[in-house]
Amino acid sequence: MAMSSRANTKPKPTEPRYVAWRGELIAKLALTRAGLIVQDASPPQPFDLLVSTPDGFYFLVEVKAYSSMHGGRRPVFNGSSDQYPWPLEASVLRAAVEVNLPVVLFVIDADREVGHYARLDHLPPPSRDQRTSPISLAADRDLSAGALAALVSELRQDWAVSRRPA
Amino acid sequence: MGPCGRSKTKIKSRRPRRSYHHAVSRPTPATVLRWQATDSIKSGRAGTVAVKSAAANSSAAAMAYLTTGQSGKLGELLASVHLSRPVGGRYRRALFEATSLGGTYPSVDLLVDVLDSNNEPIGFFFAQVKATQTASQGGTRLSLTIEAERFRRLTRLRAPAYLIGVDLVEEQSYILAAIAPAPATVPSIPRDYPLTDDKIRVALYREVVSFWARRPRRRRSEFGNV
Repeated sequence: MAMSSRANTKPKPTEPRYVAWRGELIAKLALTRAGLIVQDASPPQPFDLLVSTPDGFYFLVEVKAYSSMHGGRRPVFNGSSDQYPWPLEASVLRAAVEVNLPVVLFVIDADREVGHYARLDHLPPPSRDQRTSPISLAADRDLSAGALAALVSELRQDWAVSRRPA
Repeated sequence: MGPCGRSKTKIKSRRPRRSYHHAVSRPTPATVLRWQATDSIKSGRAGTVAVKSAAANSSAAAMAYLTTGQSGKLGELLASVHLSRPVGGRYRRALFEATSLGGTYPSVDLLVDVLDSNNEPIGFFFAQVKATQTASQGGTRLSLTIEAERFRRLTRLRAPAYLIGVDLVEEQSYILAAIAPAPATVPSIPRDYPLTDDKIRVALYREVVSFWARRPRRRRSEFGNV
């Protein structure tokens, strides 16, 4: 599997360019540690990674990275049940609604190598004039192997019957 | 020198709903790692833990399931993350970006770009990665199984080349220069140069930059006229 390139990552003007590609790298490591199989999601779909379990359950991952070293916006949690609203481009959410695979957002600190995830597949599509949508990141939904295992179980349960194509 | 495809852009426009079970090519058996563990991914959520420390917990438990291919993949990812870890001080950025060659090159696993402050490559080095799940903890050396011929080929390359040993249990990477003449056997490497240490990465950066700085920037070629 080829490493993510600097190419498919668009840094924000104030953000160092390593942040985006390193975010993807950290996501790949976390997923691989959790026993999942990761590959770059091929165009034209807009997401970063295509992930599967050993028995062939697939989902897509969109990675958003920030730099704590350079003062980027970061989620702050006060307790394990706390939530933080992360602003996500509405176009990503629209695309997530349109595909027939589960889509998960990873928000990663490219410097501290920590991150959190949020499911995008069960959210309502944003309105037309909306440019960003707040996505709720939960403190306990981090990128540890246990938390990612819980994610996979949850996705399996929700997608087993209702939305899988015939 | 660096990864290609810089023009890849994300298309974030509205598009008709599509079936990815048909549109996205599934991984071929060659690209899919063959995991022995069937569905070891169960159980509840963990607390808020850093990716790094979470892995330390999970890796020990998961070690028993890793095949050679899996541990090699994990070793490459760990080495890539350690190499690219941003350094503080006057740099405040990543100094290296590793690209996996995916087993297509006989003696090299990673092509590692050395990055300037604009994230542009200004040099590179080759790295062979060897991962181990059975390293003895706390010793001064990391025991590895290294093919002598493969290592000898690495030492013969005319560009900077290094061996990176990865302790998968401790999640540590150690670097060693591949310099000719290669020893007959390489049973272990010293733990003296951990890639997680900022000073080691800065020293490596300086060494590789200085190697490429000695090369002429403009070279002649009979294929030169555009």
